[in-house]
Amino acid sequence: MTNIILVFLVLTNLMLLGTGRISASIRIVAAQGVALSLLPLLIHAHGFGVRAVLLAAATVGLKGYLFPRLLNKAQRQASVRYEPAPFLSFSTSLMLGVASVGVAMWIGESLKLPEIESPLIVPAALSTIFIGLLLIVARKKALSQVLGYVVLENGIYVFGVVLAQNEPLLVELGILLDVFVAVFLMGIAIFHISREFDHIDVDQMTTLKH
Amino acid sequence: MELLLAAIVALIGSGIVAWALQRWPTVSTGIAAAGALGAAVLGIIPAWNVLVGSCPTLVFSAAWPVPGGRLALELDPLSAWFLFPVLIVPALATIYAGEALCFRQTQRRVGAAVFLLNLLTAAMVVVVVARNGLLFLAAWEVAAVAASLLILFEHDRPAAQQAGWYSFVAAQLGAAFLFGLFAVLGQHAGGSLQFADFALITNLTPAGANVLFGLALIGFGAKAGLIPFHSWLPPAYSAACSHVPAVLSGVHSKLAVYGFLRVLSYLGPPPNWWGWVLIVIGLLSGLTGIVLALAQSDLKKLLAYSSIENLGIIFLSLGLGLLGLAKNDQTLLVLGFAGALFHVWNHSLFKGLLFLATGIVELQAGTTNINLLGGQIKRLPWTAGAFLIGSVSICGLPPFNGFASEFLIYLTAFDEEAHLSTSMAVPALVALGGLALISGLAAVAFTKAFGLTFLGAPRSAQAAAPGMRVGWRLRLPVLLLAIGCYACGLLAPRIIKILEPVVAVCIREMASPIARSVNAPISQIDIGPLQQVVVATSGLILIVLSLTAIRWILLRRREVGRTVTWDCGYAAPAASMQYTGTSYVQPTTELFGNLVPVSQISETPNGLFPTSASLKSSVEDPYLVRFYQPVFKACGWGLLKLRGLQNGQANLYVLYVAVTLIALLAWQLGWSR
Repeated sequence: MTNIILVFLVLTNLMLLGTGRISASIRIVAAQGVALSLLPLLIHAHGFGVRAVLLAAATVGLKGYLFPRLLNKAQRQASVRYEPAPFLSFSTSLMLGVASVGVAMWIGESLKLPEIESPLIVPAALSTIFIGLLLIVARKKALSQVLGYVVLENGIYVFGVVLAQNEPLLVELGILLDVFVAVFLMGIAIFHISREFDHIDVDQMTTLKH
Repeated sequence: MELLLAAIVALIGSGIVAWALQRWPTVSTGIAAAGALGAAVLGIIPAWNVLVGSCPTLVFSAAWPVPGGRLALELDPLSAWFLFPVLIVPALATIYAGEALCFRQTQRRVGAAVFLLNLLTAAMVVVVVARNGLLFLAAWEVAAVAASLLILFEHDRPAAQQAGWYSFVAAQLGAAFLFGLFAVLGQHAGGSLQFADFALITNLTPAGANVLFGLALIGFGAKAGLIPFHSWLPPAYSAACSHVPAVLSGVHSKLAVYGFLRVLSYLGPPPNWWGWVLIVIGLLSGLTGIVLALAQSDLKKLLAYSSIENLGIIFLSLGLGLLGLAKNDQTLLVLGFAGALFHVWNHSLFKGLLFLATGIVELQAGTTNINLLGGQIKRLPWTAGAFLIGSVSICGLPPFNGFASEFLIYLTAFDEEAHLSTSMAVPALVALGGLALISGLAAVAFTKAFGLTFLGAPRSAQAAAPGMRVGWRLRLPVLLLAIGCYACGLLAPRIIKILEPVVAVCIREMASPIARSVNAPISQIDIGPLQQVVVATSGLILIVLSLTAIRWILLRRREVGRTVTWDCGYAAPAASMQYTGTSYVQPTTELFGNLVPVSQISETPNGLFPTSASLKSSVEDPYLVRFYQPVFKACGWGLLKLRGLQNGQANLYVLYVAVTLIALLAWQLGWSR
């Protein structure tokens, strides 16, 4: 079951790289979030602790419901529907995405980590992080970059859930809260940017440097 | 030790209070001065106890939550010796600053200026007593930053901006070498940065010791302003209000000597050539410094270059001492170190005095350009007298303190020449000749400084305009320093005896067998006719003074005719007939044309009835113009290329981060295989 989720994660990552429609991307990220929320329940084989249930619930709430809502709202306000011409074309980013999965596999081989339930976990987590970074770098619309950030966080989340099984609940909730605040702020910022400049293309923001 | 800690607290505390109360300048500066004076009194007591009293060292140690750091302080004779100038000169300068800053009626933040002055003093105290590498470097940096900010105080003047920038860059570059130095020392000491562990280093190869010596020489030499690391110093000293260079030149630059001595003692037995390197650099600094000094037309720049010269003399003397150590000659060793250490005190006294006196002239006449001054003795008789004493001291003439320390250095060189075989005596002879030349040139430079500033007639309207009243807070520090100059000359034999434990500390830790066997050698060394010369010249001066007094008494009841200066038979004497600063020293600068590139722009008189003619000459620092400016320009040009990296694209910034992270990850994984 864990493996299925992880494969799903990697596949959705690749889908994200291949699609330019922002509303679709938001839905994919939401689906990813919901799938990931199952991970703590599955991995903690010792049964459903209160902790795992709480974490899963918080994840579903945030990533499955709140983020899509916020992002959809931002999208409506900024009236951006798709990514017209990203820095890297969709096919190139897909290629890079596949390559990053390969690199992640190699790193997963070399990283000898104790007590892992599935050999797919480290590669999946790393490739998600890489693809998140790739999305941030390759896309032009600020909204896509927020999505990239959420994907990046999903990768970290997988790592965290698996590797730090005994990390306190407080830390995980803290990370979730962090992401929530970040997405919230970015949503507001995007709205303001689009109102101010009539667009949310980051490549035209270089003039703000001076 | 508690007293010393109290002194540091008093300095910083009074500085903060002064800053908070800066709306009332008089109160604010008064508090700062009181704090500095109190700290001086508090700090001098333990220093005196260590130097002449019963307790050999005082120790304080506390944890400091910085990796490798520890608040380890120790007051041994060497620290105590440097503590005297570090506490006394800035305290006097703070008293002076109170009036000088208010005198200028500046709208600037007087409180910040006195706070920085006290912070600088506190940091210097910590540098001198720190026994942990990190603590030393931290205090060193605080002092450097405070000094740069003090130079920048009049920040709306372009000269001050440039000077502050120069001094900041020079201080950071120098500190980079010191960081390297302490890092390597720490590595050899098994990862500890405690000075106590440095002293136990035994695994230092000769090559490693040479590298450390080079690092120390450059790092500390940049602070001392040794040539060729001096270019930042003259603009820095001339840009700030006079009490700042008085502290910087008088005390701050001496920390370099302290640090150098301290580090040298951890490097094991010195090879011969270290001594020679120091002698060569000392001579070069002395000679170039004084020649450039006498070519300057700005009084403060003249003093700044003379500061380079004096630091050169100190390092020259250290070099002679090191040579003595390498040659197993106790007399030389002790005399060389004692001469250098004594000159540290003396230079801080007379250079402080000269800068403060110059500051009074500047406050009165509004300029320090010698070519605009003249005749100031009539307005400022006390200042003129003090400046004269400072000038006589700095030229190394009896009976003042400059004579005493330079006498020791001459004695070292003579001894070296007499004790050693002919070929080995060469450096000593060179040092002897060089030192004599330097002193002679110093006499030229300071007759220029004194004569053209105080004698003759004013060369400009602003120098002639009636000035404001000089209050006691300006006058007192200057007079106290003048008295100090004379006292150190008169009491020289006793002070040299006090130096005994100090020199012992310097050479004990050099871990050479002969140095360990040295015990109390100074009292047995014949310091020659020092005392007699001082007493005899004092007698001469007394006779002259009493003759003046008799003349005054005789003339008191009679009418004395007075007329303008330079009235000798001219129908209409003008101030512009006098020597200018440049013309006075022109024969000498011509002689040393290689060292001082004087650029002249002249328009010669033409025809039988010439209508116009002009001559403009200026002196540039050859090292700055020919080396530093091109090098820094090239660096700036190269670094400008890197600005392309910062292009404002957020995507690319994330890409940089991602690439770095992935590269690090891959590197670490590849490494672990």
